[in-house]
Amino acid sequence: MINKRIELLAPAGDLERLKVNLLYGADAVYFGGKKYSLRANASNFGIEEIKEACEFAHKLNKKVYLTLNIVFHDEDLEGLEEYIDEVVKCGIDAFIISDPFIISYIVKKYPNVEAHLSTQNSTTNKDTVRFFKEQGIKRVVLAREVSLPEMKEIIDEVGVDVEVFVHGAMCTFYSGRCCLSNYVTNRDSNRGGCAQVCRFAYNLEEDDSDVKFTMATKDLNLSRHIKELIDVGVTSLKVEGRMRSLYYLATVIGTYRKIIDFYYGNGKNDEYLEEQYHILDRVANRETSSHYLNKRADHTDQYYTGRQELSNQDFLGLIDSYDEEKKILTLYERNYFKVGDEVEIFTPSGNTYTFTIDKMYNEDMETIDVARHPEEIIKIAVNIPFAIEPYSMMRIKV
Amino acid sequence: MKLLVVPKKREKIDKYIKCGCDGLIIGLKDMSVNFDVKLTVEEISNLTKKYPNLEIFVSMNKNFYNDELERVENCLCELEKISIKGVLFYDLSILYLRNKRHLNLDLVWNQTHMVTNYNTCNYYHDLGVNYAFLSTEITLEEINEIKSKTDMKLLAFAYGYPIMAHSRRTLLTNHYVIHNQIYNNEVCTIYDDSNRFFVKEDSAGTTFLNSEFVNGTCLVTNSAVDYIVFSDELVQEDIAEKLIPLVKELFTNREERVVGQIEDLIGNNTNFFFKKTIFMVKKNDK
Repeated sequence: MINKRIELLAPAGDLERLKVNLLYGADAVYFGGKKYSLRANASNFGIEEIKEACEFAHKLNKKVYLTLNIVFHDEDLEGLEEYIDEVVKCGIDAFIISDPFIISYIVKKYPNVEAHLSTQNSTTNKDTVRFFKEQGIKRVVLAREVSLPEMKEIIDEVGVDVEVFVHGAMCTFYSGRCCLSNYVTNRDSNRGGCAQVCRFAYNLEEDDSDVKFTMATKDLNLSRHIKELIDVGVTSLKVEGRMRSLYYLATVIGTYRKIIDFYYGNGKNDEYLEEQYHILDRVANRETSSHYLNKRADHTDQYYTGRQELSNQDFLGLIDSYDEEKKILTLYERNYFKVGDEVEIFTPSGNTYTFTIDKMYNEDMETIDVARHPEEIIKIAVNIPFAIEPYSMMRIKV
Repeated sequence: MKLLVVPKKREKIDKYIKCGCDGLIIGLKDMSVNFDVKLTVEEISNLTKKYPNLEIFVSMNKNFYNDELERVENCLCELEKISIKGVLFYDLSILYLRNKRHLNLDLVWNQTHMVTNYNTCNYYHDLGVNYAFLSTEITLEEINEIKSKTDMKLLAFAYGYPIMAHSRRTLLTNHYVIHNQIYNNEVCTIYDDSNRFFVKEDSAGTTFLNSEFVNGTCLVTNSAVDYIVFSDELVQEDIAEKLIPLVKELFTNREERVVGQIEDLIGNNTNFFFKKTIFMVKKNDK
């Protein structure tokens, strides 16, 4: 029996991404502050932005989680208590933490704010989860190496909330057990400086052929396993990617929203579900796999062609407004498109509308055939049958 | 200060002892990663009987999965019965099980790259963990600060090839499979223009080590850690017989001559002892 709907948890590198995620259907977002977060080089959130993020999310009855998951050195602890005080006052709902000393501090001082155990701890079994439950952890983000039956055993026997990654980039190594970046670039991977050295190609001395040794992994995509994850009792489905684009987030979060809602009975058919899988496949810039979910990851979960990543050109524009009287759509161009292209409008509430561009204008309403300059204001004549909400977008028909 | 050795071969243990090492860190069969010598509890027991004055630490530093927990628990119970100094752990299930069974077994917090501050040392100390094996990526200054603010006994990696990363993936097997070859279970070397790493694989996964031999003499001359560790794993030349006596001499005689002899033997790569890592590459104010 399912008592509570599974949570969709989205990554936010800045305030705009946070809003897009929540509007496109995330139940909660996670992000880092200016310090103490494992994405030290994302824009991240200052105190005022954290306050605004909490207000925005709470108005929508959604939640915000703050990452505090670096591996602390002594110098990092200076000012930490004051910082935690400040962000608690902002209204965050949970901390995502890896260091047990910080966990114990937060659990004792802020019993009303949840402590979630970061995946940085590479938690792979039920006795480790029991240990952290005793320390006051409310939720555990399991290691990405854990299989579905192992998740079920942990959930059934230990009784904590379990969060699992479902989509995005994967680490080659156990999280927390990799310092390649430290040795190659002097950037501390456990304090947010990871330089993704695992995506480089190397020569292998023992291999006489010219092929390079690579260890890069395919991205994770568990969209075809959502029902299984709901059935075993997972609490939260987490999407990776605090540094991803607005379009990527809108597409991935919006699509997972639809897939989750499908399993809770939104009255759609299997064809609709296939369409969502197709959209997700299309937005990926790397190949994807399910990695450890149903087997131990092997050669099929890596790619061997060096650092080849696809540049996705599907995103055509961020919609600024729609004049319902004149039937004119105004947008900021992101990728090349032209008259005659079959395109698709999609909105945060899940509406989509497909049409072929017939008439197109520049900002001064002069007729044009091609939009080729990013951020250029473009106007399109189209009759859209639903309201256009903020952060609606246009993409090529996928 | 005492010198612990991670052996590269079982048959070399006598030699390390003859050279003057104070103790060993031994892998436990099916329970350890990154160890070339992995013994059974019975074999370790025999070792403790043969060398009653030797300080033997046993490493159970694997990430464990549900189906391994029963064996982990049994191993801990068996290890309690023999005269070892302590058990190194990465996975917190070890601490949970030790406390659940009220075992009289000292533990060493050994989360390879995560042992980086004194507050967390003290946190584990309060939970009954008496030793910490410090991260290899912190500075000598940080090591000394931790030492000054914790009652834990500290182990620090001083000599050998440092471990950089560990994966559950079989990265070498995968490479050979995809290129229609067979991996022969040997240690491999990967390199680019400026880096060279050792890669080894076993049933638990793949481990990467830096190929630059670390010289941690500064730990002997400028710190008060309780144990320094020399890992002889992957060391091609037979330097242990020379290095161990020199390091032991350095414990009591800090002459430049001895420091120089060690440098002549292994070079002077001080790893992160005097080099702070960074993590923000752009301005990111509060």
